[in-house]
Amino acid sequence: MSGRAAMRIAGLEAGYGREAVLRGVDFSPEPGALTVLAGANGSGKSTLLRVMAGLLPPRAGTVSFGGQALYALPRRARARIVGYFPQTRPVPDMTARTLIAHGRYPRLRFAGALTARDRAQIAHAAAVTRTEEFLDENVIELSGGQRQRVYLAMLLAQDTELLLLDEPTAFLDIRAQMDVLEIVADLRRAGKTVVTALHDLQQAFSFADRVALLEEGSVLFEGPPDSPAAAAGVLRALGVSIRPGDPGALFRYTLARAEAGAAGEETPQAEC
Amino acid sequence: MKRSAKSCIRIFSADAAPAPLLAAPVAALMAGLMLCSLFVGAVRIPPAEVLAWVTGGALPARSRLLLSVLRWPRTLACALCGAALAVSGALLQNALGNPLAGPSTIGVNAGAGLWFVLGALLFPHVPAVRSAAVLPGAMGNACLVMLISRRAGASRLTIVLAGVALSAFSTAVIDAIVTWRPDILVDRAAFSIGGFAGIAAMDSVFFALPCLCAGFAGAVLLAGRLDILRLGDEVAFSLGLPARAVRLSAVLCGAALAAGAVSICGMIGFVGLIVPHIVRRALRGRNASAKTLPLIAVAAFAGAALVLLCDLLARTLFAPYEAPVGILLSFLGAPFFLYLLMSGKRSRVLS
Repeated sequence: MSGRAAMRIAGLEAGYGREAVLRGVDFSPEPGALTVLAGANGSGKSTLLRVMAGLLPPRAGTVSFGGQALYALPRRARARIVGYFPQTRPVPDMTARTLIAHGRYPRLRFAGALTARDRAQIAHAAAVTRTEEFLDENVIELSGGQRQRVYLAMLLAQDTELLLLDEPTAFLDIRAQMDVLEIVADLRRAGKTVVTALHDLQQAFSFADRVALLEEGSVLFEGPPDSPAAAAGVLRALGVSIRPGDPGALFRYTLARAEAGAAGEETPQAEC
Repeated sequence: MKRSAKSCIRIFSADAAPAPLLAAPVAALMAGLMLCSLFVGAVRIPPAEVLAWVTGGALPARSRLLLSVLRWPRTLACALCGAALAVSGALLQNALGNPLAGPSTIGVNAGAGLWFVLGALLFPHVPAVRSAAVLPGAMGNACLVMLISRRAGASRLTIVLAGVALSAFSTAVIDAIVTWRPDILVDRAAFSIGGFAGIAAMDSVFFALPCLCAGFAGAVLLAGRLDILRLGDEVAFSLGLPARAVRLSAVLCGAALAAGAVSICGMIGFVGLIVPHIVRRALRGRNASAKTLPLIAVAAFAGAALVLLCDLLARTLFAPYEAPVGILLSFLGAPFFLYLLMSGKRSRVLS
């Protein structure tokens, strides 16, 4: 473990209205690593990310970053530490360049003018996310994958230590999914701490340095994806089994199930 | 002919001009209409006399009186009200993310009108009271609409329906009061429809200035934050923007601007609804994203120009009689708004 500032969550309880979604969550994403949150629908992945982003105050427990309580920080100070990419985002009527520049908002002075440093960070974000060729296009006119990359560029322009991504590959075709995941991997290589929720276990286990499995609002397992404990956690949380170190087995199982369904045969056992 | 018509339409289509290029001719148009408004009317004042009045030179006493007491206050009132209503509409539409929002559609004008009438009823001899009462009236209705739509699910339609209900209620109370005490309003029809016929001297303009100045200043200060609000509450909040506070502040600024306008010219409709749409269309293009600040700036000039033009027409078409300017605005505004709604691809903002 490096000496970099890290987020620590202990005894977290959070939810909406009277409904508790997270119960007694202890979780600390490893600094500089790409951690994937996996789990069934409703297991609390998005809620955990929203709490970590400072959007949903916890009912109990602590959320701290570098020893400081996250929710005690002013909003803009918090936005200089944590960047958040929500699952659904509006498609605003503005150019990609303008949208990316909004990522600098937490660092702008009162007058709101961009400095040379801001412009450099925006250019860097556009280069990393390969959005340079459509910077002056209206976001409305971009494809789903391009929009996703523009929002990732905005997140990168925000220049935060910790990046939280909620299903960044949702609703994209496979090529666009791979583009987005490559950018996410690049961010990790650039030293960012990335926590992302992913539905696709194949992707999760291929890209992650670490995996956190959630079940009914609790973290069931947190560790490297190629360990036997991870496979046991997946079996318990999702009801499918994978071979440690062979995430491709899950893909083959999914394919076999689809083919069996098409041929009207019995669904194969969830053993890969 | 065909070509010139096409080039006129181009200003409303894809590759539009950036804000400063658009603001300059619109501001020039407004200035030209202000000058026209000074020398055109039931009594024509020669441009040389208007120039003499502006530069402090010698001119006939009748012309001086007309310009000082009638024409200039009315011209200033038209420009201020037009600008205020257009900026109010732009703020409300951007803050609520609702292209159908406007001071007349969400009940702000009617709320201001109700409290204006209440002020006139309770303090008939203190004009400052009714001018000040419009502010809580407008803000009260704006807050109520936000509260109701939040409870009922803040869809675009809910906000407008809540506004329609509040407008109907406020207008019913106004009608009840004015039926019971018709003497409290000089011209009931002009107040309900909106017009500048009663403007004499600068009193009503001065009383409205605090509201208008606060509203314009707030609009400029909030413009950048409203741009970020367009990314949705979650993204805005994650960027450190207090989304709800910004939205409420923008709505209150929009209400203050509409309140100031209502206290001068009554309940004029359509300006706040259609002007931001026209300007947004002209500003938007592949390479020019419509930010809130340029939108507000150009909308202010365009709103002023539109009201000045309609007022000129209202007092010259049937001179020496004049029609309330609100009637002309409705004649122009309603078909244009229907055109906006039905103009296919170009009505992207309404989808």
